Amino acid sequence: MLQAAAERLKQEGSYQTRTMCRLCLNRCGIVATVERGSVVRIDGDPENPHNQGKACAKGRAGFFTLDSPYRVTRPLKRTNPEKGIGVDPGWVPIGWDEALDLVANKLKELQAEDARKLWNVSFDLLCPVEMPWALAFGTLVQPFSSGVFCGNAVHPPIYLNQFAMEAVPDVPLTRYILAEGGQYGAVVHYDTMNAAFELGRNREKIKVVAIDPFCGHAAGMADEWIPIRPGTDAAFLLGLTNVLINELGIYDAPFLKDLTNAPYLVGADGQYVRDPATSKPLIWDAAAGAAKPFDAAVGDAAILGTYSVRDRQVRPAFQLIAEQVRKYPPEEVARITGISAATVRRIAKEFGEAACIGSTITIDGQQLPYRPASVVWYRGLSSHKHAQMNGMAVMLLQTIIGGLDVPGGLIGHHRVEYRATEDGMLAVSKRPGPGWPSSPYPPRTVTPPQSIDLFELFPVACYSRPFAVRAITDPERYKNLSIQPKMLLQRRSNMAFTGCGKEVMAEVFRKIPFIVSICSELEETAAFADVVIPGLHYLEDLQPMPGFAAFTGSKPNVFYGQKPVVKPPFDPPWDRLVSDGEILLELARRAGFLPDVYAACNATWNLRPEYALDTAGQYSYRELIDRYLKNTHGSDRGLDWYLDDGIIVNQRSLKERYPGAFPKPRVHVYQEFMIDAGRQVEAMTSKLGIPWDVSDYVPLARWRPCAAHESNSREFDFYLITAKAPYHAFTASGGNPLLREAGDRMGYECLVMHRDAARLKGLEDGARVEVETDSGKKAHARLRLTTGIHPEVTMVWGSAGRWALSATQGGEPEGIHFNSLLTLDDEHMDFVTGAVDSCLRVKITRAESR
Amino acid sequence: MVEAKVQFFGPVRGIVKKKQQVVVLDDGATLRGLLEELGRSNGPEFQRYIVMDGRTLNPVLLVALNGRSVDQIENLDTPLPQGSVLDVLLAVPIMGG
Repeated sequence: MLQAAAERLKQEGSYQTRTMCRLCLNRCGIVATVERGSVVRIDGDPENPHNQGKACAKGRAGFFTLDSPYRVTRPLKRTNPEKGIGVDPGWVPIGWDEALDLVANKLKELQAEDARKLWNVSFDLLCPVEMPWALAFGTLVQPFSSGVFCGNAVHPPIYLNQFAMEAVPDVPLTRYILAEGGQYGAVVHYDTMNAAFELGRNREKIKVVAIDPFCGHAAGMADEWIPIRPGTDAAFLLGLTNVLINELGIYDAPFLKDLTNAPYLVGADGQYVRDPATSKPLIWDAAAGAAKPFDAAVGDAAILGTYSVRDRQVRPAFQLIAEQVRKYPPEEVARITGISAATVRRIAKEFGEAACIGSTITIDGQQLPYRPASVVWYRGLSSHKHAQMNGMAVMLLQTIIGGLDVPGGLIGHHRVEYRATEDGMLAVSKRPGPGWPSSPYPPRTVTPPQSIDLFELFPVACYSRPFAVRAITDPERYKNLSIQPKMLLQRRSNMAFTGCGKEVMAEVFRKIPFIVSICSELEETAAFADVVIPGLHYLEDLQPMPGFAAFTGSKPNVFYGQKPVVKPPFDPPWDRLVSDGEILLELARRAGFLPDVYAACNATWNLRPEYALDTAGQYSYRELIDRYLKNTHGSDRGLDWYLDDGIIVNQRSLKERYPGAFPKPRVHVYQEFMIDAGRQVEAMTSKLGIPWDVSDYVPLARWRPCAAHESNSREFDFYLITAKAPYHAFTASGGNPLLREAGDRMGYECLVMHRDAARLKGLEDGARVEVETDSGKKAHARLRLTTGIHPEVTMVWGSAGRWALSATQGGEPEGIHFNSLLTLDDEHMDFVTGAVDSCLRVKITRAESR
Repeated sequence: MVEAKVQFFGPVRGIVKKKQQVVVLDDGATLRGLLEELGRSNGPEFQRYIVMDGRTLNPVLLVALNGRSVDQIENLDTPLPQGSVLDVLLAVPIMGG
């Protein structure tokens, strides 16, 4: 169909190009139609199963920013040394050579001093040359904005038990989905389109229960929406686990015995009891009445009970779990979460029964375990003071039903290789190369800070980016050990908006002597730059996906990527710019480290000898991509093939789709390693005199209140949260006139409040109100009333409140910039995952006037 | 004698203050011996990253011998082939969202 359409269009002097949408993390395969040099239409790529051939409204409207009047078309230099929100930078256009030399000279100076002082921020994730470039320079790529509020409680537990970066329910085989704090199937996610269509087709077969303070677009389509008090998810999840284990006796005992550390014996100190001869963790063999090393022949591994080993009283890890979750009876969960005890019991029963423990399914002639129940979660659990506890609690629930990477269960994607540790536990395998996993186990050895974001003090986190803000603004607190950036290079990222609040980020930027933005529009962060270099729109960029990074749950994996559909509205000093990566390479050439970039490409792309780069050579970006592609996909699949076709759909074997159904090392229900990790952090921070909270380094999850729960003020009587809207993605779509209009119609600029709560306050729909946090930060918005929100909660949309001219299109900022209301202090930050608490305590009053 | 070229990438260069290093070891030298030599020759600030326990390297250090990660090799006592290339960098925050 696609070929026929292409032929027709070619005859009309137009063409279609298969490429990739970059407006959100789902990265749909799309087809762009070009007529007389302009993109006139975007559709889903019918041959791409990742997004089932579909494109959402955002993706279809994506080309409307190609010709934005706010595009950067020439390098710009700042003339006003003063930097701040609303301060005119005094831009003057300069030539490409002048801009590139200016930046390259700064890079050269900084590399000679200490390359780690370059804060190299990008959230591109696909640009093949950006990590080799960073490694060659002597630093890393640090996608600051994303890590502030995103997967802190998502990636570590999934790496831990599923050796994958993300995990999604196995639609359509699953029968029950608990969607908690993530708007699964409705907004920005890695599997939005596949989920949306599979859920739509299987409405009668799959029950979706949304647990969320706000009835957003996902909850609105669910079978049931259960409003929960913000930041109490761990209590709810532990309550469900309690009912399953202690009231209903529903758990996958054979799986727990054989494939987890549930039977590992634990002493009074919380640590494994080990065999004195081999140091291997012990298991109690109930058949033999004796303790044996975990890998010995065991007749019946005990997971409950108390035993005596070398005159010490010991218990299997699962016994500790059963005791721990008993602290969360439904009545107590109801007090904490606002969800009734009866509902907690009902959901636990539904979830447990849906898991069909003990059942099997036959696929491709093979009988596999069938566990058609799953929990899927995201930012709602991540953005809290105790994000670590939420991540541990949710993974525990999924693990006790044996629902990891088996048909119907929670399926990992973006998987990496795994190995068994000497304790018999699953650990991910690391290799130098793009996409390194940061698994919590085994924990990294704690060392004194060596980085901008104090990452060395976070041995089990996947990132610690918000702590960069604290280390930059208050270096004395960290004994001046953190690296203070002297230069910021930011690309495909908008830290001023997506970071920790506009005033805080302005303070951060003012401390950095030289800032470079590579951007297609002058967004909020570019306003702080000393030099701006024009960047490409995603429809102009040549960036193939690294390997087969796109998966659709348990279905095929897909290779495809971005292609230059149209030419950018400017020319660099060379031929035609087809990637921001070319700008990076040119900077490396002028700064004198291009040979090192080639060496880093050889190492991180794992280039075979026939494609390896000669470090004394000179290659165009296109040549590099040609070798990169051939090395991965074969000699007949280089750049020409990629530009002409460029899609591979690979069917996967049963084992690749459902690795949980095949033998592999044990996974964690009891995170014993956290004890030692916490001790290491405590010892190092005490030695250095750095104030640090290690109280969440515990082997079992518990619920702990956020600062917002402990506010005693009656005046601040609401929680304020934020939610993603389906018509905007981060700051990638704010300047799109069609999406702005869609947002306006949906009340994107409003503060959402429950109708009954508003009535008690004497506020009506449309009223102009003032929001004030208990730390004194204020904002104003128009009120939108609904019954689809927890009565104690108010909500603002995640991408609202932008102030850059390119986003407001010359108008006033619309809506509340949520991040500017946040507080970055010890009470609002998680010292284990690096998360920032995003449930705030506020009061809402009628505003005097606009 | 066995000669190995060690390439340092990323922020680890700020610790060892070099881009690469050539290490010459006795015949029959192993990956473990090479790592121990790197620890000795690069001072205590780098040495603390190379804590080894049995066949496991400190997980903070990412090392690949001739393109294969130490995790894949799973045996630090693997003999070093002549002309080995060792890529070294520190564990990094993930790139994801």
